[in-house]
Amino acid sequence: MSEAHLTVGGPSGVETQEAPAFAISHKKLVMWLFIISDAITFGALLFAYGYLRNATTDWPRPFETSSVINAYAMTFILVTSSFTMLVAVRAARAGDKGRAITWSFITVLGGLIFALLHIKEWLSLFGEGLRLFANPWGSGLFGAAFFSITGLHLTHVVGGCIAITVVTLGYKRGRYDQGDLEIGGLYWHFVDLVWMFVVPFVYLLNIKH
Amino acid sequence: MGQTVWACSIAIFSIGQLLGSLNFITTTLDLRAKGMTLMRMPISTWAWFITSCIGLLAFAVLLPACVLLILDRVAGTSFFVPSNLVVSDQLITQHSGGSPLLWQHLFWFFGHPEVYIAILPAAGIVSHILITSYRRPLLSHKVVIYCMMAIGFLSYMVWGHHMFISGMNPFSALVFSFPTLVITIPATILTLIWIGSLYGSNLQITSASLFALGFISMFVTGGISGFFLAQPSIDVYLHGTYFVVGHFHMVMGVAAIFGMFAGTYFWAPKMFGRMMNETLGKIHFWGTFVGTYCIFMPFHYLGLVGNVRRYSAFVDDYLAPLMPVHKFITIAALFTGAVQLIFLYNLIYSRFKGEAAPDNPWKATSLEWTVTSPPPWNNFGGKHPVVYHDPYQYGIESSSGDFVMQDSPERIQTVRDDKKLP
Repeated sequence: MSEAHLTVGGPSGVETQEAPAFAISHKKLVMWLFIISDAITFGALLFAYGYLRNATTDWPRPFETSSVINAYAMTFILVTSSFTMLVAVRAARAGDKGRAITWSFITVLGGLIFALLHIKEWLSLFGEGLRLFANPWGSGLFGAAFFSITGLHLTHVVGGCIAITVVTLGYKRGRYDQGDLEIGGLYWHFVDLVWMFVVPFVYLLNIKH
Repeated sequence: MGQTVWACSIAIFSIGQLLGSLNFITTTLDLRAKGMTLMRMPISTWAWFITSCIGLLAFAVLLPACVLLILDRVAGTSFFVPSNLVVSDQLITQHSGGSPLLWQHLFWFFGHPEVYIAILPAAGIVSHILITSYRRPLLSHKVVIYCMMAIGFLSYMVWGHHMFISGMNPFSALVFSFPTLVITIPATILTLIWIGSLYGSNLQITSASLFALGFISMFVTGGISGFFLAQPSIDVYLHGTYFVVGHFHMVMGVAAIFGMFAGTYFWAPKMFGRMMNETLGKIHFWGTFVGTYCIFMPFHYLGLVGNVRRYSAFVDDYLAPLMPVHKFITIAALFTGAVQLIFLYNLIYSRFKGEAAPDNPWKATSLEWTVTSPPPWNNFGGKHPVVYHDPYQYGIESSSGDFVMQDSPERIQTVRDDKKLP
């Protein structure tokens, strides 16, 4: 595990620092704190969605079987990419740099396929008349809630792809170590976990019947 | 347009606060000097740490709320815009179905913790300064820290007390009223510790300690009106009046600013290497203290007789007899504003022409006073301090006087004066 020390103080800097409180590096601690904060951000959005959905009488339920199958495919790919990230982190921990880089890039590829499927789905819904502020089926709030929640998640996926690419390239060049790769993985699992809440709340609750 | 820019700036501010919180929490946990256990940290540092924890969670809700608000304004969504809304005599037709109450929930879930984000650093600064000016430890610094934690925790359960008259289910008012009253318990304990520690102290009257004591006064005055407002039945009458304005200006506005003034007078010598003028500082304190009471005490009176707030002009007949009070408040506000010029002059003049500050002008114990004024770059000039005590070693006999610095390996043998107290 990576331990970052304060180096500005000269060579004696290392010994005079108190050991980290929870025996994890400060970078990892930051990531955990960020995940807590980000989870609350998603929680607030899902709360707003639930609040509006309950308060609206003509809430539409537009998703056809094809949309649900697409959502399942996306879920499968995202969960698989979480798994490949795990393989990459384990390889990095074992010191197998080449394997770690390969599996990291496979993870990024999974994320990109997820994003493409997501955009394809957005476009097909757009073709059916769904807009951010209106739709042919009922309350215009549906599009607003749908696009803001899935949009925020998609932003996280794309951001994660970029971040993992950067960290992997840095890892390849020796700028980052396996600890940093693990932190990237932490974020990736979190994005995966958020999707597990988005699928039932946003897709499965709104299947046409 | 202006409001959209405002909402964008708040969203950016939320991100900034998130990054700041991450930095503060991680630094506090992972980058302490050797020997600096968590309980040896000064209360001011503790207060910043707890504030950062609150900010980490609170601003995470403000950010999406602001983004939704921006979408409402620029992208045509209607999260918060209800049907049949009339603005400036015009029916809004392109928005429908949203809920303004949802905005209130999201905003106040952030908004109430934000009150404690404003006041807790001031409370920490004040505790720190009071210990130094009392020349004795507080009755219990651990209880102060635990009380701050309790306030931070409870701050997430009370947001509904801002919404008693919002159209929220009246039964839920009780749910929010109860924790609101509970939160007064740690706040009261804090106040009792600050005041109770005066007993047997050797109080040094400085500008910093005056502002710290003034903070307690404001905190108590504003806190007492909080008891009234926490009751839904009384709040229904008072919420739309000046009573609320007086309450929150006292407890989170002026009290927090008094904390900032106290901190400025206390740490300016360390920051700039120059002492601030104490006489001007004391004039500034008394002017501000009397002035603020003259402004905000009448607010309570105005609220009780039913002076509504958020009006640009009071043209109703029943408010006419209150006009002299409003005039008095205006004069007091202008006076208090003018007194701040003394502070500004003092700050700028002392920065360049003030008396050179010694390393430790207040005979304080915490680490910043071990280095030169102003501190060397890199804070400790490449040396790493080692901490042997908590920063509350006052009122004891030692080689340096009545206190022991945190980095002094001196063993504390003498029994503290306060141990002899009943």
